[in-house]
Amino acid sequence: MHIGHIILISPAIWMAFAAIVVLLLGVVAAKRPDKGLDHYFPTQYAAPLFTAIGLLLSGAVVWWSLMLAGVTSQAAINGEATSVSATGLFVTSGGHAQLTVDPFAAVISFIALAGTFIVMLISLEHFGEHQAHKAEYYTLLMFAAVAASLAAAASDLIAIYLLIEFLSMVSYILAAYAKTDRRSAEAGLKYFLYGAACSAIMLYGMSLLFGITGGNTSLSAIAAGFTIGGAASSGIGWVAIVFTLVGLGFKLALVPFHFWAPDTYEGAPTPVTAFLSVVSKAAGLAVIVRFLTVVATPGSAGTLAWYWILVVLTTLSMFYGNLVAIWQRNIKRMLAYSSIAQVGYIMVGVLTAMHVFTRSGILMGAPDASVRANISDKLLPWDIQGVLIYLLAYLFMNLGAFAVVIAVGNRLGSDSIDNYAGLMKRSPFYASALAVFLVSLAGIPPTAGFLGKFFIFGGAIKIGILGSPELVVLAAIGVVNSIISAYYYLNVVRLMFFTEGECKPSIVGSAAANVAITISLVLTLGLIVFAKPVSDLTAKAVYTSSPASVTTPAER
Amino acid sequence: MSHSLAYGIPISWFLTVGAMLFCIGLFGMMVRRSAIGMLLSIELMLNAANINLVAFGSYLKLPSIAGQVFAIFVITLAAAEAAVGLAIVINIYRNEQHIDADKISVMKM
Amino acid sequence: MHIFGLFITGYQVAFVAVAGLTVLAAVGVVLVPNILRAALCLGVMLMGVAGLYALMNAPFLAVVQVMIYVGAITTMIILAVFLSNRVMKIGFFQAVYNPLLAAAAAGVMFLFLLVTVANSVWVQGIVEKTPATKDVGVQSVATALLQPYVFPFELASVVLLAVLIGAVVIAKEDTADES
Repeated sequence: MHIGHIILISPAIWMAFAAIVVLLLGVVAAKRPDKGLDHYFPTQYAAPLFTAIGLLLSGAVVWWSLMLAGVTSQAAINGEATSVSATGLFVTSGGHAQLTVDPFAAVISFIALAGTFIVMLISLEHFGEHQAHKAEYYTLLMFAAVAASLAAAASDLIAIYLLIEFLSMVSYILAAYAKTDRRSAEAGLKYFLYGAACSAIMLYGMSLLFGITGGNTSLSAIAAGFTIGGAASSGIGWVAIVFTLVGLGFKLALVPFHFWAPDTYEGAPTPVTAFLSVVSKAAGLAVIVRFLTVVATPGSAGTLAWYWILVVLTTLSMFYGNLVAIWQRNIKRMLAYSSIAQVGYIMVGVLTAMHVFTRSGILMGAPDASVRANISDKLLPWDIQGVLIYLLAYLFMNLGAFAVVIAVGNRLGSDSIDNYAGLMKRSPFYASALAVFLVSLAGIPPTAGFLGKFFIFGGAIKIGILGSPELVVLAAIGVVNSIISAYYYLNVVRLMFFTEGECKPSIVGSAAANVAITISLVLTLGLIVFAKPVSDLTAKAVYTSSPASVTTPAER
Repeated sequence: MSHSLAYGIPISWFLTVGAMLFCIGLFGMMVRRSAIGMLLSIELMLNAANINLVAFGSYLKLPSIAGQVFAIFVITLAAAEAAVGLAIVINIYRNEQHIDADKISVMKM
Repeated sequence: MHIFGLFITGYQVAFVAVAGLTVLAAVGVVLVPNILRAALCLGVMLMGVAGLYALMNAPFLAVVQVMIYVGAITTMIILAVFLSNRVMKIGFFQAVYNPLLAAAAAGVMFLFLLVTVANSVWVQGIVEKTPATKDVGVQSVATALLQPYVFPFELASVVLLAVLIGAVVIAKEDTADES
């Protein structure tokens, strides 16, 4: 490992450090509640500030990892290196890395930190000044961000297990954080029990994966063991992969593993719900993409049992999430169910990516255009970066929607959809912002959600017509589901704009909520303006990423 | 020691015990009616995985210490997980102790 | 020794005894109605697993198992049972109301795992007949923890810190003077 590469995980290191500082600030402030430190530098403002710094660092890392990947892919072309990535961290003597901070991981990590930042802003609105244990709350949120941003890079079974559990355990605590609210406590307990069971099943799968691939924990070594030994076609290999996917499916709330989601989303404090629905899912998606594209792709995707299982689960997630969301009268529950469907859309992108890799026989990171052209000139350039673009869009539109829901819910004391009737009269800003977010979630142009769906379904169709009709079918199902979802999303818009609510005073939220909503609004509308640079960046991120770090000889 | 301890015991015996513990744990998850009972079942499943890890680690043709290392991390996380779960249970208990309710579920399943 | 014409080693006898105890205790964990006794069964089960580790030539892990799992986790669970006895009577999670159905499902899963995992001919091809005796002790574990696995090792401390903070916040009784 090059010591300079530690900088690649500097956002996570900084966040862990800052989390402890926030905790200490809280301890010091608690000594003198009225004057003292808290008066001049309140803990609840320190946390978003530190996270903003982490976000800047993360942005720098995205840039730097792209540059590094560019350098090493150039070296690969010149025959100086055996493989593309030199950005693996904590590389063992076998040349396998615990972490692979490729541009893909860097972008996901950036998304995780940006999400945490917005969640902190809406937490300020939700909890107000006098939150119990506020220092600990923000500390835990920052630790969760550490876990999410590192999980995106994890390329070793032990690291993956540790980071998924880290993220999960902090999430259980955050879900139960409103201690005196029995719904929050119950949300935490449900989330904990189902989560711990699913992670135990995942661990059982990992233990088999470890065994049958010759005692390796590194994903790249496991991938090698999987293809060479014929382990993939054995029953035990099947059990190993499917059990592992259970734990990852839980983090994503894919359909058979979704049962915790609605209750937890409704019961948890709303900022935590927002965190779970965006940051936690982004981390889970990063791990599942890495896992599926590295380990689970021997031979062709079409021949793999778990590929078809995932196709079915993706379909079910889309339909179930949308059809159940229609009937919800509580906006948090509606967003919870719709987020199950949203993950279904993203999974279409993941399956497309899985197909691209198996079809072309490359891993993420064909060195450059000339090499890629040899593999297939039809795989350029916007077929698999849909996952990243959709995640970016989803980050802003979903968090934005939650920000409005919190600001409005705090003033109205209820999350019932009926209360949104006539919101336009009471708060034009919130009503129009929420309308934009919901229209974007429905995937209607010209919003970020449309851009994401365009890339995901476009990519699926593009790969699908090369001989995988199921991807075309999935894209079609996705479009049908977008239309279904438009029904209940636009219903809220209709209520806000075209019905008369009770005449009540106008709603004015806190500055923090307004900042969060404004940021989300600008990016939800702005992403499509920057479609070209975003597309270029994500394409570069995907194509220069190597999911399993095999380092260059010089690196060892 | 001059020869292996588990002389005459093939790996499948250990894997069978692991599978048994895993399935007993699954059964417990399905029938246990209390949070702590479910937590106990989860511990069974974690131990099943650990037995697999250690068995593979020491039986493979190229033995790997990683099996034991993985198991140590699992034990560490199991301790942390139990702490989180029990904290949540104790908190629920405190919320509920003034209310004589048979069910605490206030949300529809 | 020979029993009914079968050659049986002392280790096999030890395995059957330890494994039998482990599985029996595990059944107790899920079936004993009294949660305190179930937790004690868990302690026995965990001791049994420690015995299995010892049989697999993982003595350090056996010690870790006894100290952390039996010594700390089981004690913590029993303490929690004492602290929150009434929660135990509350049922709201049960997924399968018919225990026979659950037993059938678990049994099918076990048969499935037996065929695919435990009895896999394929697995027999990649393993030795006996566990390794070299490089299994404390020293190799320490080397592995501090060299290839130093990242998870360091990360585990962060995890424990975060969980410690969270568990204390959730479990702590808030006094009136704290807002």
